[in-house]
Amino acid sequence: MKANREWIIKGIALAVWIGILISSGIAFAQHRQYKETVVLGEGVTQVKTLGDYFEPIKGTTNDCNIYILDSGVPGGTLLIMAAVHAEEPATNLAAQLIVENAGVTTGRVLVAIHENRSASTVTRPGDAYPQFYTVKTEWGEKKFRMGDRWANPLDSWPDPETYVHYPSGQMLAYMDTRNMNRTWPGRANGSLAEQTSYAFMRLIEQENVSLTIDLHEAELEYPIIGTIVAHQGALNVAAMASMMLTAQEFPIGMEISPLALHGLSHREIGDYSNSPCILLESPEPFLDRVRGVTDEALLLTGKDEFVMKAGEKGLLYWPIDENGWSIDIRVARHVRTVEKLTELWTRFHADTAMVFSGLPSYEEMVDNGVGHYFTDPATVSANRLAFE
Amino acid sequence: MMRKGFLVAGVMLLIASLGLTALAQEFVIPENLPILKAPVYVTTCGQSPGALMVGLLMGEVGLAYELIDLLTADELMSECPVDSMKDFAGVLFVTTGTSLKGMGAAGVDVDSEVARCTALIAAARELGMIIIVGQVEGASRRVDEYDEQTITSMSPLADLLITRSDVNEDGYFTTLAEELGLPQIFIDDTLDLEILFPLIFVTDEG
Repeated sequence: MKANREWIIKGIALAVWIGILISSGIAFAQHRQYKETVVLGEGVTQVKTLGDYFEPIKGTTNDCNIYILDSGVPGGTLLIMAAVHAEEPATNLAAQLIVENAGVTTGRVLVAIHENRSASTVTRPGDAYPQFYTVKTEWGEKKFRMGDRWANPLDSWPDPETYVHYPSGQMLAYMDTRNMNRTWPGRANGSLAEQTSYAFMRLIEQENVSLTIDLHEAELEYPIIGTIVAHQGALNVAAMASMMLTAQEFPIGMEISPLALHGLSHREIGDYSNSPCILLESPEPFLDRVRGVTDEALLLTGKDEFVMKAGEKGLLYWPIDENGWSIDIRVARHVRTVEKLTELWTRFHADTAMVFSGLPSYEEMVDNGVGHYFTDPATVSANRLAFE
Repeated sequence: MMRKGFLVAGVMLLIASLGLTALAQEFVIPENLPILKAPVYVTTCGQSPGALMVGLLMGEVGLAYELIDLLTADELMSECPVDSMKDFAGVLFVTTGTSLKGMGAAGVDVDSEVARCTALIAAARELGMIIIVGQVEGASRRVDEYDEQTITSMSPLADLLITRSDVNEDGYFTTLAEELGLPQIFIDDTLDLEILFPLIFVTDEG
């Protein structure tokens, strides 16, 4: 009798375990396979993929789309890279907003919405990350994949004991072999993130990119926040943008890329190509360790009483109040900073001019919300859709 | 007087034509403002980009400047021939506020930065230079003890303080200026320097 009861309990436990395994497996698979729909704006003249620049990436998870907005007027080429850390959603949205809304009247703009696509196919379940987030639009809700800082271990495994950055030899944490902002300039036969960085370097060479902008978000506990980090080749542009935006639109600081800190885009892209790189950081309370409930609401509103409390205790490097840091403000900061940097690049480098048109103002994006700028995919023809 | 008015109007027009117009800013220029003449040596105590911004804006308004992030007393002395010491009517502009990235990259720390700039200011005094100490990047460069150390070490050594008004919430800069009788100018934004510099620097014509 007792033995039977034990077997029943074990059977139930096994069934529950299998049930959890199946349901979580389905959830992981749905997240990994979900495709974001991108409406190609009038400015988009061509869509390539990263594999067009480095064959081994072709067909892999990281063979991301490269959207090309070509004015047809000679000038420079701007590369915008987003979501290298796929847990920084304002970068993804800012890049999609640019693809859907921007025109270019001089030079060309190239956009990678998911620079490290693999990182957008996994989240951090142990940290209670939501798998998806949705943005309200005038035609319904638009759904996006939340991601992680590192490429998915399903795509890049195993990690080394210690990650040794190539070519500097600098030693980093083991998982940073999957962190694409520690793998620049990359290597052809390295980990997936290293190969992806290498592929982007080939893109920069082959497309003769004049300036690269890498979009990020950061926790308020991190000193490098609300700022522009610039390679030595773009210091004037970055400093002037910081001063002008702070005086006229919103506060944004500036940092100079350290010469000895290796693997980062703002360091290595400029050192190993003709394109200086500028990295932008917007404030994302969702990433703070002291945050409260980790859910989609926090991701979108940036409101958190625990992060606020940390601010009251002087533990933050960026202010926060009951208004939080909404996704609309964070996206608006990125889009406007990209536009301002481009404008100033053109002023300092007239021979590689790049001029945007059609982008909304900071106030418009904050007032209308980012969803206002996404077009209903059902209203456009299939050949003007792309999938991320 | 009229000539200065034309000069200011000219500079404003130049700035506007470059599309760099700062928000309208009324400066209170102190009566005891020292005579400021280029060349200007610009350095940063704490390796933040403030010095870069100062240099950039000086270039925009046509002031001769040299930006040296790690300028030492010896290097400054070597810039000035011995026989013209005491007649060297230049300016040393030291910005305060720190960057951890910047200090790490330069292989310095806040103590060595304060020591370097203290010696530099002493050398500049020997050369008869005017010392401007500027906290020009605002509240984001007054957030930790490193920022505080550069601010409180450098500011009392100034002949002129230029300060972002948002870092004076505790009244530190006003109190210091009053106690030491230092001339002081507040700016609302870093970009205001572009309008301020032509107002406070003496040119050969004027």
